[in-house]
Amino acid sequence: MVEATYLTVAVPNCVADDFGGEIVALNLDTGFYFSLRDLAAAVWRDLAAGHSVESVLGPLGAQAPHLAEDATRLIDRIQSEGLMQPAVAVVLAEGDPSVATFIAGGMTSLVIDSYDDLRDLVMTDPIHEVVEEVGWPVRREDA
Amino acid sequence: MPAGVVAGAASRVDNGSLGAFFDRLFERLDTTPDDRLHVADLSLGGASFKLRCSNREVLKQYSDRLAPSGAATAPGGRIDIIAAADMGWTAGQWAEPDWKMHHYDESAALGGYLATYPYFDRQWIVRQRRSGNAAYFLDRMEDLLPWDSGAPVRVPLNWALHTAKRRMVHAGSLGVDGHGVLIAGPGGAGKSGTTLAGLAGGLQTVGDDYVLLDQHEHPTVSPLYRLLKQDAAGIARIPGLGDRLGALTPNWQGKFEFDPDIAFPGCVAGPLRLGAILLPAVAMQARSTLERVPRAEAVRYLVDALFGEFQSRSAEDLLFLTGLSMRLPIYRMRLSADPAEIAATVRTVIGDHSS
Repeated sequence: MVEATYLTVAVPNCVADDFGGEIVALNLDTGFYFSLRDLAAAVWRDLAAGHSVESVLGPLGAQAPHLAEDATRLIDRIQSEGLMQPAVAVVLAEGDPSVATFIAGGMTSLVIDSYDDLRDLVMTDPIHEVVEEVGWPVRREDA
Repeated sequence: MPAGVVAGAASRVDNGSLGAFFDRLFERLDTTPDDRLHVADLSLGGASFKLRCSNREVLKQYSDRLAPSGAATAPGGRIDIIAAADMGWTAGQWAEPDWKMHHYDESAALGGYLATYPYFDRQWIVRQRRSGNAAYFLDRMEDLLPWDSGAPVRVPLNWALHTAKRRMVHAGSLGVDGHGVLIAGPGGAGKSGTTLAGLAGGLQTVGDDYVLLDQHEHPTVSPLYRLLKQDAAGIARIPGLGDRLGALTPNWQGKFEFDPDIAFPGCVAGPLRLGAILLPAVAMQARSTLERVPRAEAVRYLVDALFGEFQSRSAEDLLFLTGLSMRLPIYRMRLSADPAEIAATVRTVIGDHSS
């Protein structure tokens, strides 16, 4: 029997949300931020909702082997970038993963875009590196 | 006697006694019947609030300046504005030598509260996390900060309405037919002037200073206040506006505050679906110009412009702005000196981004 793998958003070092179907994730450690749209966003949502990696890859592989391979690379990247991590405790998702619906709708992009043009803002520790009288994100000169 | 409270002079409060001080305050507020205070029930930003105040005139002024929303779908809690002198209570004197905001935040959080740092003597603004109720607790009502009435109860209102995808932001707005633009910038950038020019040109607004920005679906802004602010020169630029407003007393900034509906009847819109963000810059050009601002530059600007007035900003605020900047184009608008031309330019932007 193959053990299922569950992932969760890597809080507190990652904050992420769904903005109109686009996942935006900030890695507060590295200062990089990421955007996932289309099928890539569906993969994120399914994993974050408590579907196992295997249950997400299953429908993709059934549709086309390369989709499962691309999604595996995406999930590896999500973890290597510090955005998700293996879940210690899981609240299992109800129902089927949403990825099948996206494939049926012709949405097959599994791209994750990364940006580093806000690193100084993203990496400012909002508690310890700010000017006390002003607050985040005004970085203290000696920080 | 509870910790943090002494008879006679103001009680001394430090990080160690902060939670007990707030406990005692909310115990008193919870057991104070409505008929000892002046009360208004308001629906704001889709939530129902009970506003109570120990001063009738302050409550009336604040209520008149708040923009009621439609039917409330969520409880917003109670907001009390209380002067110790009105109630015969003991005021609280911040006496902590450790002038560290995060220690204060930690002490408040440990006690179950969210509170703004008491920079101003004997002025407490605090929210009880358990109940969702909030309070301004002052020594005397005259101690209310002069800018508070410009956006009444904005701090507790922001606490109550704040969700992962919704914030009160420091920005203006213009719109037409349910579509609109957010107008952002620090004080003096031209937010209010742009809003006023747009209204004179027949556009609508949900506010020129603080608005509720919601990203649960497509980004929208909703009104929280029925108040516009402008200096004498700005009013003079709009033909006939000074006559319509009549004699006004300037506020602490030397600006005049007025009900938008008196100046431009019917100009207060419901929620506006945003198509773009404008960053105005006073340029006194012959014609206004628009220039797309790169996302990173825009986010840096908006962090201060939208949240600069609020303490304790967070990584979630940056996420909120980053998400917003990915959904809406952001333009620097160098303003002309002609209000009619400014209005026409904004109307064009709204039309071009109202899909």
